[in-house]
Amino acid sequence: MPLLGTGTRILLFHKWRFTVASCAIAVAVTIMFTEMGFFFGILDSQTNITGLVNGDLVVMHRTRTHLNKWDSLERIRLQQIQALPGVKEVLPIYSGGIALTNPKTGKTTRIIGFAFPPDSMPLKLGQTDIAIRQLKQSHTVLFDRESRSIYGDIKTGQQIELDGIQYRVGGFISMGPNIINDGAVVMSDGNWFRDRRSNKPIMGIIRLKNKSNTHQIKEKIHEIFNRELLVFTPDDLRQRELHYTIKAAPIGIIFGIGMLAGLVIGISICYQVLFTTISDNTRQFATLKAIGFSNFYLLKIILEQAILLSFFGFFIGFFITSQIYDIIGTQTALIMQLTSARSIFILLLTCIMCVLAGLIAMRKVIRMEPAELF
Amino acid sequence: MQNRHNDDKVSPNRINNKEVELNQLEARINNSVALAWRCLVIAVLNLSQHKIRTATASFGIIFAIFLIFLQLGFLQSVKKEATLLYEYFDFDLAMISKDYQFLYSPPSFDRIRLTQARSNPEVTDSFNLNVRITSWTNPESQITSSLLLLGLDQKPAFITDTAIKKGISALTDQRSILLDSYSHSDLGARKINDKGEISNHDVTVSNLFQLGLFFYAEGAAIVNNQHFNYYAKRSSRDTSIGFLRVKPDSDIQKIKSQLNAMLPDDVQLLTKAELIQQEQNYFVNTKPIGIIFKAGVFIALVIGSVILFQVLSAEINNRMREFATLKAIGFSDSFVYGIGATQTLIFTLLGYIPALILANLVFNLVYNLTHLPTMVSFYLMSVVFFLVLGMSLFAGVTTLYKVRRADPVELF
Repeated sequence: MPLLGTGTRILLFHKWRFTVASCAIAVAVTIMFTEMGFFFGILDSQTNITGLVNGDLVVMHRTRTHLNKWDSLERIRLQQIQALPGVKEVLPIYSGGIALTNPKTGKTTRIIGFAFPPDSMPLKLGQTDIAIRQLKQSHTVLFDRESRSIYGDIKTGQQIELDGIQYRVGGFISMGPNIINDGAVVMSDGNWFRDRRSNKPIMGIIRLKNKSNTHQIKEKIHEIFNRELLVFTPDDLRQRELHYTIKAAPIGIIFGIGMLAGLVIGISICYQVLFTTISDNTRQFATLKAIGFSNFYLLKIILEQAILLSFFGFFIGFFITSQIYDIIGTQTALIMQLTSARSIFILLLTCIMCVLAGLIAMRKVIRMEPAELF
Repeated sequence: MQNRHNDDKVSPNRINNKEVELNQLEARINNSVALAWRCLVIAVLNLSQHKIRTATASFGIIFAIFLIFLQLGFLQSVKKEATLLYEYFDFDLAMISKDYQFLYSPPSFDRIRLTQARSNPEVTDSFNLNVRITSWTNPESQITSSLLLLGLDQKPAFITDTAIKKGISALTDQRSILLDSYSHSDLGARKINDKGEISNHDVTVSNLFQLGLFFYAEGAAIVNNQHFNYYAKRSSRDTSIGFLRVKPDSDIQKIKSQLNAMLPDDVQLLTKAELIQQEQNYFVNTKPIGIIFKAGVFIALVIGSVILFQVLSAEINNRMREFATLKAIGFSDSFVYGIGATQTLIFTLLGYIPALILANLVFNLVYNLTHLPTMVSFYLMSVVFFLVLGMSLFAGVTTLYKVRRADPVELF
C-alpha cells in the first residue's frame, strides 16, 4: 500500500504549482472570513451586553426597541416584580451618556456610564473583589479597559472629570465598546444619584429563587405589565438585538451585502483554482484511462485532490485570517471572534466548492478520448 | 548607431540624410503599427481558441475587479455620508471649538466669536449651525428614537440644498420643524403635518428634506435657531459651528490666519475643504465603521491583485510554448511581449465592464435599502480602471519575463 494516494502524488509532483493553488484557495478563504468577520464583529459587539447579564430575566420599557435607546422604566415596577412569588431579587441598572474630561489634555469626550447596587453585580464585568470594594466608595468609578484609545491612557488612582465632577479611577472592568459607544465607566447607584442623574433604570435584572420556573414567571410578568414592559431571557434579548441590527439598521444591510459578496467571490475563486489544477493534469488522467483504469478510480483521485487542496488552502487562509482579525480587533475595539461554528461553515463551503469544481472537471475527463491527446 | 556615424562623416549631404531618416522613421512607424495590429490579432485568436477557458478566467477577473469596486465605493460613500451635511451649505470658512471632534457632538463656543470675526472687513456674513443629539417620540407608537437636531439661521444665501432653503423660511412658529424623510421608520410616517415630540415638546412637521445621517442618529430635524435652545436646553450664547462668507476674490487662507491670530484660542478656523477633510479623516480613522471600511479596501486591493495575477499569469503560462516558438523562429522580444500585454489588456477590459455593471447594480440596491450615497462616480471608475490596468500589466509582463530567459530548445 502506498503511503500517499495517487491523487496526492499527482498534486505534489509539481510542488510549486501546488503551493500556488493552495495559496489561491487561501485567498478565497481569507476574503470569506474577513467579510464575515466584519459582519459578525458588528453583531457581536452590539449584542455583547446581553451576554454579561448576571441573572435569569431582563425587563425593559416597551419602547426600548433596541439596546442603544435610552427609554427608561419606573423604579416602582421593579419593586412590584420583586413582590411576585418565585422572584428572589430585581436589580436596577442605570445608564446614560456622560461627558468625560481628560485632565491631561483637557479634551471632553462622551462615554457611557452604568450604575447599579454594587453588592449584587447584575452584570458580569470580569472585575476583581478589590474592584468591587472600590466601587462602594464615594466618587470612585471603574473604567472599561477595552474602551477606545480616544480617552487617553487611564490608570488606576487617576482623577477624571465626569460631567464636571471629580472622580477617582478605582480599577478596571471589561465590557467592550460597540459601533455607537466608545467606552464605559461603572459606578455605584449611590454615586449616580448623588450627582442628580436620572433615577429611572434603563433595565432591571431579575434573579429567580428557582431557575426551573423561568418560563412561568416570564409569562406572569408579561401578563401583568405587558402595556408597559417587555421581559426577556438574556438569550431572547440577544436574538431581538441581532434581528434589529440585521434588518432595521442600515449597518447590518451594508455589511450583510459585503459578506454575501465575499462568500460568492470566495466560492468562485475556489472553483476556478481547482478547475485549472485538474485541467492541468488532463493528460495524466487520459493515460490512466487508456491503460484501463475505471472512471470511478479517476473520480476518487479527483475528489482526493479537491479535498487536499481545500484543506491546505483553508489552513493557510485560517492563519492569515487570525492575523487580520487581531489587527482589526485592536484597531476598532470590536469583538472579532473566529468561532468554531463559523470556521467549520467556511471549511465546508470551501470543500463543497472544490469538490463541485472537481466533478465538473471530471466530466471532461470522462468524455475524453485518450487517443486524441497524443 | 550606424546613422549617427554616417552623419558625422558626410556632413554636406545632411539634408538628403534627413529625408532618408524621415523615410526610415515613417517606415518604422508603419512597421510598428502593423506589428501592433498583428499583436492584437494574435491575442484575440489566442483568447477565442478556448472560449470556455477564457470565460472562466474572465469570471475570476470580474469578481476581483468587482470586489475592488465594492470596497472602494463603500469607503467613498461612507466618507461622503460623514460630511453630507456640510455639502448642504455654501461657506468659505468654518469656525469650530478647539475641542471639536466630529459633527455628532460638537462642543459649543460663545457666539460672540462670530461677531468678532465679522470685524475683519473681508468677512461679509456669518451663519450659525447648531447641532444637538435629542430624542424624538412618535406619539402613536410611543417609541423614542435618537434625533440629530439642527438649528439654522434664516439666511437662505448660506444654504445650497433647495428643500431646506425653501423650508427654512416657513419655520415661523416654535412648533414647526423640518423632518428628514430618510429617518428611520420608528419615527413615524415622515410626512408633512406629522406630529411628534422633540425632548417632550410637541412639534408638527411643516416640510421635509433629505439627509439620512444614520451613522449618527435614527433621524434628523431642522428648527429655526430662535427656537433651537428651547429644545436643546442650552444657553442662547452657545453656538456649535459657525460659517463665514468672505468678499469674492479675497485670499481665504490669509483671512483664515488673520482671524486665527485675532480670536482667542477657544475657537479655530478652517476652510470648507479643510473641515470636510478633517471630518472624513476622523470618521475613517477613529470610528469603527470607518476603520472597517478602510481595512476592507486594503484587503480588497491585496486579494484583488492576487486573483488578477493568478488568473492572468495562468493564461500566459498556458501559451508559453507558443511564445517560445515565436521567439525561436526569430520574432523580437518586444513583439512577444506585445502579444502578452495585448492579451492581458483584453482580459482586463472583459473583466472591467461586467464588474462595473455589477457594482452599479449592487450600489443601487444598497442605496435603495439604506440611502447611503453609494454610486459609481467618474472618480471611482477611473481609479479602479487605472489600478486594475496597472496590476494586470504588471502580472502579464512579470510572467512573460520567463520567455526571455527560456531557451526554446528546452521546451520541446
